[in-house]
Amino acid sequence: MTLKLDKPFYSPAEVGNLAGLHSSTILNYIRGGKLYAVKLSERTYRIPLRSVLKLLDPESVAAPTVVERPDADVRISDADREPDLVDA
Amino acid sequence: MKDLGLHRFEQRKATIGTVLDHLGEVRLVDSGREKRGRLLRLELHAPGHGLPVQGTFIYAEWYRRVAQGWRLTRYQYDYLDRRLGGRLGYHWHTLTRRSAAYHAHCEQVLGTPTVQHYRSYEVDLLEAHEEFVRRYAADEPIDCSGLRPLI
Repeated sequence: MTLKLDKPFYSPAEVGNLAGLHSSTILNYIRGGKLYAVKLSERTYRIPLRSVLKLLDPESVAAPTVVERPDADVRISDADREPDLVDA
Repeated sequence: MKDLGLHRFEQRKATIGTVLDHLGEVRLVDSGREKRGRLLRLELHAPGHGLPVQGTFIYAEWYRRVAQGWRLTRYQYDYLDRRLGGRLGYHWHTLTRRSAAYHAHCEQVLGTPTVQHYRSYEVDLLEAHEEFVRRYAADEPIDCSGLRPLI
C-alpha cells in the first residue's frame, strides 16, 4: 500500500476514514496504546503523520538512525557552550 | 536524577528513542560509552516523510562515568518552531560567572533573544519533550511572557 499523506497531524475521524474504521475504534487504539496521539484536551487528539503511517503502512516507516561512537572522546565542558541552533 | 546503572542507561536510551520516533525522523548519536564522559544526542525533525520540517527537537545529555554506571552531569533540551519561528529550551550547564545552573532559553523569533537566560528548574528530557510536543501539536506559538530573567 502506498499512502499519500500530506499533513503533519490527523484527527481520529480522519484516521478512521483512511483505515476504514470507526473513529471510536481509533480512540480505543489511542487509549489502549496501539496508536500514538498527542492529547490536547479531554476530547481532542492529534495523531502525527508518522503514527498514522505506522498503523496503515508500517513498511514505509524507517527505524530511527542510531550511531554508536563508543571510543569518542566526550568533554563535559562542551555542554557549557550554547548551541548554535539558528541553522540547525 | 539518580545515577543510572548500565542496564538502566540502555533502557532509558531505548525509551527516549521510542518516544521521539512517534513524531518524525530521529537520529540518535551515543558517544563515549567506553570512556569517562558520555554524550547522548538526539535530533528529531518533524513531521518527516518528505514534508517540510515544522518542528526540530534537539536534546543532548552529558554523563560522567561513576562506579555503578553513569551520572547525568549536564543537559540541553531545545525545541525550534519552524512554522511560526521561535525557540524554547531547558538547559543545565555552567554560565559565565556562575556554576552549573538550570535555566531556560526562550525566543519568540529564532536567533533574536530579548533575554539571554531565564530562570528555570530541573527538568527530565521526557518532561521537556512532552511540553514541546504539546506546543508543536497545538500550533501554539512560543510565548516568553511568563518567564523571568535569570539574575
